[in-house]
Amino acid sequence: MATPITDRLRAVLCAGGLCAGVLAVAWLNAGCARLPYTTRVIQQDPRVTVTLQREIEPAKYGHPIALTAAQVNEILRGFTIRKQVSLPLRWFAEEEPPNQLFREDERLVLAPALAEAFRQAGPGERLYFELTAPGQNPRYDRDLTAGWLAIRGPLLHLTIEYFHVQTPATRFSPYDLYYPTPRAEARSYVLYFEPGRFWMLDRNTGQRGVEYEAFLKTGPVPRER
Amino acid sequence: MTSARLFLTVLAGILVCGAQPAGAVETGKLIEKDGKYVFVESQDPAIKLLLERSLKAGLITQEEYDRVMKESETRAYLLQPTFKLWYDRGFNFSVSDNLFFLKVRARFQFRLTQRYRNDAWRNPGDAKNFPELLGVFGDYRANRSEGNSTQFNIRRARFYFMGHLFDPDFKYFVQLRAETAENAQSPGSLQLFDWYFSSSRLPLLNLQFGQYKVYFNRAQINSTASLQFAERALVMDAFTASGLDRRDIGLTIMNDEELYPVNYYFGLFNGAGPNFNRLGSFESESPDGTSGTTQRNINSDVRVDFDRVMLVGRLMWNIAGRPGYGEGDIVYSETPQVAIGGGYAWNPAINTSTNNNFIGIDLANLNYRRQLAAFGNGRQLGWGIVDYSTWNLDFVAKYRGWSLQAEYYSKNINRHNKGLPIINTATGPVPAAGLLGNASGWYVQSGYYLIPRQLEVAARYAYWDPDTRAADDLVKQVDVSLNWFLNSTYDHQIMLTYSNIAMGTGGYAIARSAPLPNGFGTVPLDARGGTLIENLIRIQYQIFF
Repeated sequence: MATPITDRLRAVLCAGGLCAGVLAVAWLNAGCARLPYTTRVIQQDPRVTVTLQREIEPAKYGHPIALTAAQVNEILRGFTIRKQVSLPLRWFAEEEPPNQLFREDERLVLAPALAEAFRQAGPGERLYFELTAPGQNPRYDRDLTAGWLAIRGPLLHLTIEYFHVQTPATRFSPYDLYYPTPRAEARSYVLYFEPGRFWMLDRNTGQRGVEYEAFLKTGPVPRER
Repeated sequence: MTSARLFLTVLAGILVCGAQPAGAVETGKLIEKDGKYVFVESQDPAIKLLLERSLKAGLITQEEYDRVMKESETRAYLLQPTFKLWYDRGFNFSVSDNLFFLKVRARFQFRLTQRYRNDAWRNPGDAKNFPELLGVFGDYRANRSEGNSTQFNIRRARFYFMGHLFDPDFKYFVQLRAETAENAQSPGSLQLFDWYFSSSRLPLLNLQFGQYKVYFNRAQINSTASLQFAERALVMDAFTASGLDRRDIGLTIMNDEELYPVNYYFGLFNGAGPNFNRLGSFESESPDGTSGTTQRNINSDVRVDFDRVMLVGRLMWNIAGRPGYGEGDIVYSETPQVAIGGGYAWNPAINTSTNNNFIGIDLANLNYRRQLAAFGNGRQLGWGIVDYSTWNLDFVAKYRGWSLQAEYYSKNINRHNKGLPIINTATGPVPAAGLLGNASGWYVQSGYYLIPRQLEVAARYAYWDPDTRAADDLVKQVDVSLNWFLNSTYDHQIMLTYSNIAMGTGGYAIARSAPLPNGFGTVPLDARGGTLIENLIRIQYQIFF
């Protein structure tokens, strides 16, 4: 039977070793980014935030690129969205028509900032955006639509992380004071683009994107309002 | 379609529709009014289509189209119901254009605890830091146990009602608890935990009043729902503002932490703990008005020093960013978040026992004493009336999933009776071997998200000297935890925490249940048995919905 002092020594050494290991790993990795991080803020106001984010993995995007706000607006108009539903509900949810991704008023405020971001973004940067509006509890909640865009080859890729999600406007609950309210993890959505012939599959990445140049050639882009 | 398939389709349809959150409708516009955006519903899409076709065909003019659209939107807005009900981190209910708002939440922590204790826990056990006070007289007992224990426990069962009244700046918060503590001697019951109102109308002068956690030190302001370990360290609980409990009844003025980089908190409290006030604390008195009797057949309860209040101040400087109060960097801060803070609390005239030196000999109110024992301050029992003067310094830093938090505590205990107390022992009354010292402690903890925003590993070391005049009484604690935050918030999490706690048995317990009968032998409360060692593994599931 081990003596108490041996017990203690063993426990302390074990725990101390674990602690030291944790701290060592943490200190070594603390400076390394493991999620895309903001490099430039293009626009930030209560309605729209557009930033450039540096990718962690090497990326060779087709940025910078000159697109007008009207062209961006026209591209955004074509997107529809449906929430990714897991099986078995997916069998039935597929029958629901997708929603239009952006309303007109949203496109009008978002497109100019995205056009500017396309002009400034580097090959390793993606365009992150947030559209916020007052939520159900307008003082403390926000209705959030957020995601990011990038151009790879001939395709413009769009990923939506939040689609009209109610999210707290403050870092901690205004009622349960100092209880943090971090944003919940990004959700999964299924995107579509109309006309469908421009919604192409990138065989290298397995992701779909809009063949935007071909799409923009198909018709006149409406005047900017 | 067979009836079975029809049934399944309808059932699935209900599930699918029922599972949809309240999303934005497709038609309508955000109208900016008075600097705020208001979503105004527009008309039925079919009518809108007809109007647009009519406009295009020249059947109506643009002016007519605009007028009808505007009238229709106004009508739709006015016809909206005056209440809203939705789910988002709780069940939300809003009426009268959000003049009244109620959020109902619940929190559930389910825990499996495996304990391994050494032989010292069997004898002598812990008679000094966490003693047990039994019965209506509060008989003072050593806390002993055999080696191993496996326990399931609902560690926290909480119900929350929060929101605002009249306007969003006048808020209320109610918390009820229904759990049973792991070492409780009787099942728990529903109890009021928090009830406070707060006004944030003046950002520089927010006001909060009611019963709540005192804004004193970081470890206690942090919610138990947002910790890096399954439980706070023992040293954190031992240095509350009042010296009794982390909650109290009173009021606090403070500025808005969202707006100002330097934050102050100044509070005035009973200093008697939750659901209690100083009028409830009494001691026994002989018919002739003298105290200090060792008899129970006395007939007066006397209340002294109940004109005192507890004063608490805290100052915090957000040096970089806003690290906030949750533990760990769950949000994966893109820029460094650093803050330092400090607090001071003065809680006068706490009666740790009547001045006959015994806890259990007379009929006195036991509330203070039970709080002292429950928070690990058993060594302070039996020293008469004391003033607690406690201060702390804290530091926090967060960056890209890494976090560091540390805190130092010091508590000065000023006895009103300066002499050596008399202890009744098996051989008769003797002067105590020495005087009670002060208390100090600190901890440092660090965490790192192996998977950003989801999987964290954290470690902590805590040190506590419960009596600076006693030897071999140190409490040292090491914790390591692996935490999985299922949806990148604190609300839904699974923790696996390992702890090693070593408590010295040095010093002595003055607040014994005495007098002991002659020939009783060794007084167990004074026994020293090396170090009490406990190894714990806690597996905890939390859902906050």
